Amino acid sequence: MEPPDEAADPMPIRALLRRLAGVHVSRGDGLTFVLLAAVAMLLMAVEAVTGVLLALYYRPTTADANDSVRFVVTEVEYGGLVRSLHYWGAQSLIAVLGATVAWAALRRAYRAPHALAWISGIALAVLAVAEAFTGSLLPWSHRSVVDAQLSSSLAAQLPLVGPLLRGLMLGGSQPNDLSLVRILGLHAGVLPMVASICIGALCLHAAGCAPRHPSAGSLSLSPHAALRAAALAAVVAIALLALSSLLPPHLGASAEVARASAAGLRPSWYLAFVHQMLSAAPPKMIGLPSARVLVTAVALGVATLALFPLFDRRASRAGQVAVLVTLAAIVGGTIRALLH
Amino acid sequence: MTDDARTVPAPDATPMARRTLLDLAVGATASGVGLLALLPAVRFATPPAQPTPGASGSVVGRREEFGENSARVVNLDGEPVLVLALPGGDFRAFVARCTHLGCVVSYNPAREQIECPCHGGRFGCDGRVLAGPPPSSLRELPVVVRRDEVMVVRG
Repeated sequence: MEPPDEAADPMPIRALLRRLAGVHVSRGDGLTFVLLAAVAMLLMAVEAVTGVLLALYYRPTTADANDSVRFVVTEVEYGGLVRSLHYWGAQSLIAVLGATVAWAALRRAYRAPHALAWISGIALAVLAVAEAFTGSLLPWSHRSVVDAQLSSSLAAQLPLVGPLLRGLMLGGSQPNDLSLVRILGLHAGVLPMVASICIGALCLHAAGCAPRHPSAGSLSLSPHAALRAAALAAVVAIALLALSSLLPPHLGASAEVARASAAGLRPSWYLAFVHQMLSAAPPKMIGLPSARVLVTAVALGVATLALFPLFDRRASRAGQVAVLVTLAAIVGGTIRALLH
Repeated sequence: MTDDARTVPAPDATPMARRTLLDLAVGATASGVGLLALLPAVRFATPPAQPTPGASGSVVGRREEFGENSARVVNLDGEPVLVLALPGGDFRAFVARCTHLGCVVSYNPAREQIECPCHGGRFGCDGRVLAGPPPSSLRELPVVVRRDEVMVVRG
């Protein structure tokens, strides 16, 4: 398979690609992972392309942002579709990455040698939520103003770094012009860059783990697994296109920062759980404001889940139960908060 | 093999320990330099504090514009202020940010309560917490009524 003299090959990457195409994946978990990863990659590509297109018209100031997005939706050709694809792609990506993490937990895929993949996977899921969230602020609608204010207050509840985080995010104590530039920088620069690092780590891990030789119940990545992945990706692409054409996301009117009230707004579904816990809590818990305790607990919970392989090196049964109970609580809490 | 084991110094830990120590030193130095570089970056990203405007009174409306047992939220230098016309004819003003997480509060005349739509915090007409998660009372601002003009003092 490999060229006789590797030093003479002007593009050794071809040899690497041939080797990657030649790996085999197991018919069960391996194939599932390839399929989930293919759908996630498709959605990320949709987000990247539509995101670059949307950025062509976006103006990050509190006075212009809302109008610039409205201009895209109402005037620019295919503007409504591009924005809709960007929105529904993001929602689907959160769902797919969430499902991947849940599946990995069920299969105990945080055990050695998959620790790095588990940490990267959780990081990607959290980054997808952060992207959806920062993205929802960019149109600077009434809802964005309320969310920016509320989320920066939530961030400020974290011990030690909280107030610093709020200052960094907003560029002041209240949402202002600087906030939008910073949010755009996070949304289109910092978060995608961190996500790329996680994807790179996942790819290296997958390439390193995959068996080079066929065994009973395995199939080759190329073409057998790749064809199945391509078929699934095509179905997802058509579904996404249909969803985006039929249900364009709402674009609310702009609002004055000092008077934007949250009355009549529902929190985004991926944060509904957190908001319901905040509402149900008493003013003080263990002698501290309850918001501070809850926000810290949620942050610690996600960090513990991500770093779980480091705590549970022997991958005990009790460890898996703890992971599954945590995930079930998040899913159950979200459903309950949405039905409320 | 046994001869070799005897002549070669027994399982030698020194070079390995030396390498570990070296790795540790390089890692610690790199982290230290990185952290030192992070400090000015964070300071740079934190905008310099703007001078806060001194105490000043702002006219928020005329007495007759407020119906009895009603309220409105006005924007004073970028801060929402709830001006409340009490059933007796008195006025009170509060910074209209919930003490829980800073959402803008509003007045519910039917219940005679100030309410937060975010997490269900409720305050009395004196700004004190009645229910919900807010940890403290709303911040009250002095109100002066002069020649039928309602004025809120900030400072």
